[in-house]
Order: sequence, then structure tokens, then C-alpha cells
Amino acid sequence: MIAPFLHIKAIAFIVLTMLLNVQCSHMRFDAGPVRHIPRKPVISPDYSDITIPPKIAPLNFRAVEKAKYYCARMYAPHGDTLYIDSKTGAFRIPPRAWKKLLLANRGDSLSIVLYGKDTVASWFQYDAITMHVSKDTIDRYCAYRLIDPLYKLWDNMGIYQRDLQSFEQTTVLENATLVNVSPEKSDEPVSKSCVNCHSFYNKNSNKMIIHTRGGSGTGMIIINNDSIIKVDTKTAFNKSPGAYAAWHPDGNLIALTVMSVHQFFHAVRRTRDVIDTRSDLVLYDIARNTISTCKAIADPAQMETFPEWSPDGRYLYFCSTPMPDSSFTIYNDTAYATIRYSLKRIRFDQKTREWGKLETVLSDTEANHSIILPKISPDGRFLLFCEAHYGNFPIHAPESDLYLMDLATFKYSKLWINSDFTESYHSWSSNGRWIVFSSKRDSSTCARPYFCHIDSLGRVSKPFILPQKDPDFYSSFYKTYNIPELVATPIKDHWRKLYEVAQGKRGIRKAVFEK
Amino acid sequence: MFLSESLQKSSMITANKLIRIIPLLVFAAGSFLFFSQIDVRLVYNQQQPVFFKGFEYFLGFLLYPGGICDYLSNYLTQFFFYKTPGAIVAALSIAVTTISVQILLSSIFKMRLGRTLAIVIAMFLLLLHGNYNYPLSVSISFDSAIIGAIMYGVIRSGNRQIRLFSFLLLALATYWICAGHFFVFALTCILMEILLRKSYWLALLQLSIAAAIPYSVATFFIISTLRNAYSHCLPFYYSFTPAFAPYALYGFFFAIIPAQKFLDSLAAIDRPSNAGYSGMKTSSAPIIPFIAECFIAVTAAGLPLLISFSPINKSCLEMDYYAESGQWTEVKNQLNVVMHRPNLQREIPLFTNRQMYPFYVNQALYRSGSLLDSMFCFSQPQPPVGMVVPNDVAEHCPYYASNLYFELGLMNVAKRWAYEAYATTKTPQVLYRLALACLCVNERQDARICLAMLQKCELFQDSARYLSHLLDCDSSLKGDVNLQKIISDMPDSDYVVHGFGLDPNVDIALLYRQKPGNAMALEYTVANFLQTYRIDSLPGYVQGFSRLHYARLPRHVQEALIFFEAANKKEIDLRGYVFDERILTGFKEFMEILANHNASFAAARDELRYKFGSTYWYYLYNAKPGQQQ
Repeated sequence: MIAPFLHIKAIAFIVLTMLLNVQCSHMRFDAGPVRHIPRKPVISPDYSDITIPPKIAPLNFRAVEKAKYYCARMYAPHGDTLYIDSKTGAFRIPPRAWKKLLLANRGDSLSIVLYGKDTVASWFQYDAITMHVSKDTIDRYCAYRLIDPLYKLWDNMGIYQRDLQSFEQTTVLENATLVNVSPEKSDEPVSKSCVNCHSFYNKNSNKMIIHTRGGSGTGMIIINNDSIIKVDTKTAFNKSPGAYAAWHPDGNLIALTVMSVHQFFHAVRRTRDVIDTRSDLVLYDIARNTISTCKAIADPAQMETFPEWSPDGRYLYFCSTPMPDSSFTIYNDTAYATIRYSLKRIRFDQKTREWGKLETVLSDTEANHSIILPKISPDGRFLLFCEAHYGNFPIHAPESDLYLMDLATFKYSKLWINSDFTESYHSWSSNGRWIVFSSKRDSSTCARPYFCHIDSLGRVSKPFILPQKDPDFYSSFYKTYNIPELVATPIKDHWRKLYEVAQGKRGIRKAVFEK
Repeated sequence: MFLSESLQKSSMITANKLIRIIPLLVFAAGSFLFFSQIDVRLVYNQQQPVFFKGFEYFLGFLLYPGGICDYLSNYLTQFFFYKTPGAIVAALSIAVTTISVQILLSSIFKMRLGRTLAIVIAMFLLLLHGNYNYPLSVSISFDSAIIGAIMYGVIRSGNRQIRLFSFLLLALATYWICAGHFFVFALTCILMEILLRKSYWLALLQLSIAAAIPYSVATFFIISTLRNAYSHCLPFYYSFTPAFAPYALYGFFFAIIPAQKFLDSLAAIDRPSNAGYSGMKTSSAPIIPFIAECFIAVTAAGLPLLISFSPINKSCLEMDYYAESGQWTEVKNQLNVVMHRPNLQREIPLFTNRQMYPFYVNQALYRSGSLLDSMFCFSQPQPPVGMVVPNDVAEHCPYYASNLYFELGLMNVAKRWAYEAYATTKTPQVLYRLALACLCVNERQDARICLAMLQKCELFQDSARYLSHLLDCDSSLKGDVNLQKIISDMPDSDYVVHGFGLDPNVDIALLYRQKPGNAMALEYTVANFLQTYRIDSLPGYVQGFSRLHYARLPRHVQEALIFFEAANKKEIDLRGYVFDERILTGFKEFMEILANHNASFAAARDELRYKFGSTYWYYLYNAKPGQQQ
């Protein structure tokens, strides 16, 4: 007879305790006077004064201020105020309440007030951190490659897609099973493929390419809805396979860079460096499985790279520099530092496949830098690019910064969002209102994806890092986010087929060079 | 009377139980000695297992078959960092194998020699451990499979459906825990059905299920190759001495069960219910089988040492271990062990060792302050390979290369090789090296990330604390004399480091040009000139020794300069140094012997080797035609 009574007592106790806890969490900093510290608190990652999309995962953060106990109050003009307690200073925002708060406040500001309790048990508070909730949505997914800080050797790597509305990261292609076919003895190294350079057609994940090198075989995997094929893009013209890619708006042509890459190392400051010793542009026709080119984009006296189509498909933008002479060597003083790329474009007639006149959009002498990685906004208005002292590999150039050019006037300027460290690969959202770019501002070795809003006049907001569930995630995560690309739709779940194609089990189509 | 009889009987049973344990204890002790002899620290050094605290790390192992065994293996192998605790852990794993196999054979299959056979089976596992690359996960997964089979064996239900359902559940669990070794579980269950329960159809069904599970998992649930799905955690991809060791393990295991049953059926012997020692009645004296079993236990523990253990392999791995942990005195001691062996290069079994041996020699000599005095007492690599590891070799031992460049002060190169090591094995040592290198070049954010990762490694808390101290406190960093010396030895202005296929010694020479106070750069540059017969470059470096306050010119430098003076008939400015009389006399004698053989080195080789084998002159003359410049 006593047992049921004990159960009821226990349940009542638990419920009461829970209620009391909830009450306390709201009451703690209200009880007694609160001392005001007239500055904003330092939080990590830094989310103060940023503009955020209306549907973004909770911006969990850590308060980098000393206190015995912490509390954060989040409020906005509309919706309920959120209170979050923390003993350690790490704040994990409840996703549902966060989502509700953001959606109720599109176009408004959201404030976070941080409270702390010091050793003498009195509360203090900092100035509110504010963030603007934009009306402009961002593409739901961000695809990237996660790699170790690679030099020459690699082990595991993969391409992943991250749902920006949650913390879910799913695998698109990992290299663990893309191994060479030589006998697998543990004493011998098993070479795994390098998976790289994913590129989407029109931000559409149903049409995309991924490159694989080494391991289970080099090739370009083309995903075209349910069809997945692997193509060997090496032809009589190009001994090296296609790399940097740009989809023509017609969805059938892909402009590719074919090049000889040379990695080298410095004794002081930047550790590694990459230059091309030759490069050309080619066009791959998916339907005909052909590679073609012309002198304007594959000039033997020039090195062309980083193709980018204008959204109407009438221009091909690319970077170009004179080919170094035959005596060139990287060990010869600093000759490598004289390699600077100019931004050029050439007209293209899609129907006749004829090329027009080559134009220099921005020369390296005018910019006094090397111009690399041009990316045009979906409305064709802006061109975002990188400038570095030399070369075409901005990810290894600490001085690399982002610049924005207005294609209506061809005027350009350096963006204020740059840091003292590398800013590199960038991608536009499908509505042209957000950009994601790689930055090494948090680690001089590993790039992290940063997002920022860009308005119709080309004004950019303060960038913020890809939010993670664990606020301390980046403090012990030593991988680099490579080629972050915003994608509107999730990459289809056809991994079995994708793996079989990547492993070469479904054969490799050999592209043909068309003169 | 009754009480005393009862007490006597009870004490006899206790004694009998104790006696049963003794062979197992003997075998466990033998296993411990085996692991002490092979030195599990070398296993750790070979495998570089990584274990991080935290759920995130564990989660990664839950996602694939065999991951749990890999996780356990990584955890337990951490203990291999220490010699004795590591040997205890390894011996315990073998003891678990022995006991679980004994339970399976004796209790489930009712075999009369269960314990003895279990010891023999465990011996095969010991044989596998003779290979330093053999991961503990193989033994752990074997144990897990046996425990799974025991669990199936205790299901006494006569209902076949219940047994089939139980098998299915256990098979799935066992497969996820121990991957390829799931076949040991499945085949043992099948043998139970055939031999004990005579359910042939059920056995056939179980066989089909066993074949289908890995296929289904690899096809529908995880990203894996079929080969991996069937064979992960099995030892067949490792080379063993003897090569048949893994096959013998499984062959013996699966042969003895039906064989014993067959013999039992022939003899029609039922095991007595009150069986004592090896099936004998408790009242009988078990002394002879006891001695026999102890003998088997000793043999089983000792035999692998004779068969699979290679002392030269161990010596080489010890050199690896000592070199990577910077114990140069030990490396030198080890050199004395291996240098007198004829055909050393052929004997050294591992590629890395073969390639690395000369570099270890030279670094050990430098560390003991005798590089330029005695480097030609040891066989040197064939020119043009010099003092530092060529890039293609460094790819096999990036951590060692990183250590070498770190000491030299070429921090970017040290960082580069540490990153190469990190890309392949994220060991605590690599994290520590990376953090220090990043700290030296003032990349503190990266150093902090490495430190955060290092803090998740249980056994490296002291290193993490020290690093944290350096990062947080500038005065501590400035107070670290060794680190400050290395920082002051770093180059100031940039140059392109020589890459693949090019001579990395040039980078050391360029470093020395910028940092004439870098003694290691000086000695390595001069040693490289000596190795590559470029003695005409040496006079320019005499000043370097003077600047660094060398009390005398090193012996090989003197030998080279004396030769240079004699060959060019001109005096060199020795910057106040004088040649040792003994060396001058030696040179005269060397030349006299040569003259006595009509200046034919080939004719004088034996005599010169006997008297001057450790001199630079002998090295110079002994060079292959065309090598001397």
C-alpha cells in the first residue's frame, strides 16, 4: 500500500522541482539590482551587428566574459522574449523558439542582453548585442568540401551539404571507399581519391559536377537529375583533366580550366604557394561528350583560368596572364611573384558557338594586383572577385581580399568586410542577396565559411560564421571548409549510384577533342 | 567425522579449482613476458593510435561495423605508450581470449581438453602480435565474436524459431561490433546446430543469413566496399611471420571442434558430471595432466617469441621510436647493436627503417656533439642524398622530418611536414609539434586549436598544460631557452624551399647564410659538403666554426682540409685553428699505404679499411667512380 504513495510523492517532487527551476531561471537576474557595464559583451563567434537571414539555424554562442553564472535575454519587437541560462557561458538557443522569433521579426532587429553574476552574487549586464533580421532569404543549403590543412598527403576528405536552417550536415561524397585497385596490404599505403571542385548548375543540386583524382580514378562526375556519369576530360588537346568549372546557362556546356599546377613552399611567412605553369580554357559539351576550345581562350602565349559565364550566357569572363618563358623557375629569385592575372571577357554566341572579341575588363597593372576568382551575381549586376599580390591561388595568399565590381559602370572597390587574413572562394545566393566566402580570420591555416548580406546597391553587412550547435565547435575543429557554394535544393540522396560511378564501376566516358 | 570429511572434500575441490587456474596464470604470465619482450611501446609508435575524449569521437565509431572494436582498441592501445602497463593490457586481452574460448569449448561444446585447446588458440593470436602493425582491434573483435557465440550457446530452447530469432539478433549485434569476425560467431553457431543440436536446416539458414548480413549492410546502409564489409577487423591484410599464422588460427579453431566431437563419438565417452581436472574425477591425482598443461602453457607463450619475433626488426623499430621521441643517446646505443651486423641494409625489414637509418645516425651524432668527428665511422647514404630527408622519403615519415626541420629552425618546413603527418595520422605528438611550430611563427589561433585537441588526449595532459602555459604567458615563452634558441635560428627573409626531387640540403645552406649562429645548420651544411665530396667549399666555412667558438676543428673537417691542401698544394686560412698532429701523421701513413700499392686504391682497400675505415679519406677514395667531383 505504501509503494504507490511513494511514487506519487516522487512524481510531485520532480514536477515541483521542475517548476521551481523554470521560475528561478526567469527570476534570477530580476532579483535585486543589476549593475550595468556600458559596453557590449565579447561573444564567440562574434554575432554582434550582423544581418541574418530569416531562416537560419540558432546562433549559439559563448560569452567570453568572466562570471559565475550567465543568463541571456533575447528579445525583438514581435514575439516572446527568450531566456537562456548557462553555468559555463555557452548558450544553446532552443531551435523552435529561435525560429519563431526570427520569422516574427523579418526586417526588424533582434537584441541579446547578456547578464552575469559575479563572485559576490550580484548581477551585472552589458549593452545589448543587436542583429538585423533580413527580409531576404538565403538558399537553404551550403555545400563544401571538408579537408585537413592539406599540403601533399591526404587521407579522408569529402563533400558535404549543410542545412543552414538546422545543424544537419549530410555527406554528398566521401573518399573513404574511393581507393586505388592495387593490392591492399596494411604495410602499403592505400591511396584514396581526392574529391574536389564541386560546381552546380544555376544553384540547382540536381545538375552538378564533382571531380575525383587519384585513388579510384581521375574524372569528372556529372550528376544530371537521375543520370550520373564519370567523364575523363583528358584529350589530345589537354593532358591534364578539367578543373575549375563554370556552367553555361543552357545547362549543356561547361567551361573548364585545364592546367599544370605547381605547389611550392616558402621558408618564411606563408608556408605554401601554388602557381600554374600553363593553363587554358576548354568547353565540355555534355550532350556530345566533346571538348573544344579556341585561341582566344586557349592562347599558347597566355594562361587562362577561372571561367565564369554571365547570367545571360553571352559573355565568358576569365582571368588571364602571359605565359612565363621557358627559363622560368620558381627557384629563380621571385619571378613567380610577377605572375599577375587580368580579368578578361569574350563574347559567345550560343547558337553558332562562335567567339567574339576579347576584352580586358580589369588589367593587373590597373589593379596593381592579381585578379582572380570572378563570380557574377545572378542578376548580372555585380562581379565579386579576389585580389592578391600575385598568382591565382588566393586561399594560400594571406593578403587576398574580396572586391566588388559594378558591371554597369565597371567601377570596383574593396569590400570593408575583409580581414587581415585570407578571404578567398565566394559564392552568390540564387536571389543575389547573400554571399558566402572562405575566410581564414579565425585560423591562418583553416578557412571557415562566412555569410553576409548584400543589398541592391552592393552594400555588404558584417559577415558571420556558419553557426554550429556547439558554440566552441571552431575552437577544436581543424579542418578547412573548401569551396562553399550556396545551393537552393538538397543534393539528391542517390549515394549508392554516385559511389559506384565515382569508384569507376559504371565505366568512364572518354571525352573527345573537337577541333 | 562427517564434518572433517566434508571439509577435506571441500578443500580438495578448492585446490582442484586453483590447480585449474594455474595453467591459465602461467600462460597469462608468459603472454605478459612476450609483450614485454616485443615492447608494446614500439607497437604504439608504429600504429600511432589516436584516442580523444568525448562523445563526438565515440560517435564516429558507432557508424560502421567493427567501429566499437576499433574504438576499444584505440582506447586500450593508449596504454602501449608505457611499456609495462601496455604489456599488462595486451596480456589481459589474450587472457580474455583464452577464458572465453575455454568457456566455449568446455561448457558449450563439452570438450574434454577445452582449456588446453584454448591456450593453443590464444597462442596463435600471440603469434599475430609479433607483427608490430597488428592492431589490437583484431583480438578484441575475435573475443567479441566468441562471447557472442557463448551467448548463443546458452540458449537451450528446443524451439528452432526462437533459436533462429536469437541468432538473427545476435548476428546483427555481433556484426556491428566486430565486423569480419562475425563469421567466427556465425560458423561457431552453425557448428553448434550441426554437432550439438543436429538441426541441419537451421544451420543452413544461419549460413545464408551470415552471408547476407555484410552484403546487405554494405549495399543498403553504409558507404563501404563489399571487401571491407566482409573483412574489416580480420587479420588477413597484414604480413606475418609465419605468413600462415592467421589461417592457422581460424583453421585450428574450426577444425578442432568437429574433430574432437568425432573422436568423442568414436570413443563413445561421456564426460563425467563431476569432472575435475581435464575431465578426471576430483578425487584422482591431477599431477601429470597438470604438469603437461603447464608445459603447454609455457610453450604456447614462448613459441611465438621464437617464431614470430625478429630482434633486428625490434632494433630498427627501437631506432624509429627513439629517434621520433628525440632520445638520441638511445639511438646511438642502438646503433652500436645494429652497426656490426653484416648485410644490415638487407636485414632491415621496413622501408622506412631502410631509408631512415642514415638520417637517424647523423642526427644522433649531431645530438651527441660528434657528427663531424665520427659520421664516417658509419655507413653514409649514397650521394647526392645528404643529411636531411629527401621529400619522397619524408612522405613516409613526415613526423620525423618535421622534428628534424624544427630543430634546424626551418619552421615553415617543420610546419609543413607536421601538417603532412596530421593529414595521415592525427596523433597527440603531431598535434604537439604543430602547436609548437605555430607558436614559433606566431600563429597563435592555430596553436590554440591544436592545444584544444591535445587536451582531449588523456595521456598528454602534461604536454597540453605546458603548451597552454606558453600560449597564455609571454614571459614563459621567453623563458623557454630551447624554444627561444630555435626561434632565433629561424630564417628572416624568404626563399623558396626546394621541392620534390630537389636537394633539400640547399635549404639548410641558405638558412645558414642568413643565420650564421645556427650551429646545426653549419654542421649539417658542412656534413653535406663532406658527403658529396665538395671539399673545395669547406675553407669558406672554417670561419663559421670560429664564430661559434668551436675549441678545435672537427676531425672530418681537418681530414678534408688536409687532403684539400695536399691536392691543391696551397695553405688554407685556418682562422687560428691548427691541424691535430695525429691526423697529420695519419694522412701521411694513409698516403704511404696508397703509394705502396702503386696508388691503386682497389689494391690498398683492405689495408686502408682496417686502419683508416672511419676516416674521411677512406670515404673519399671509396666513392664509386664518377661520384667524386
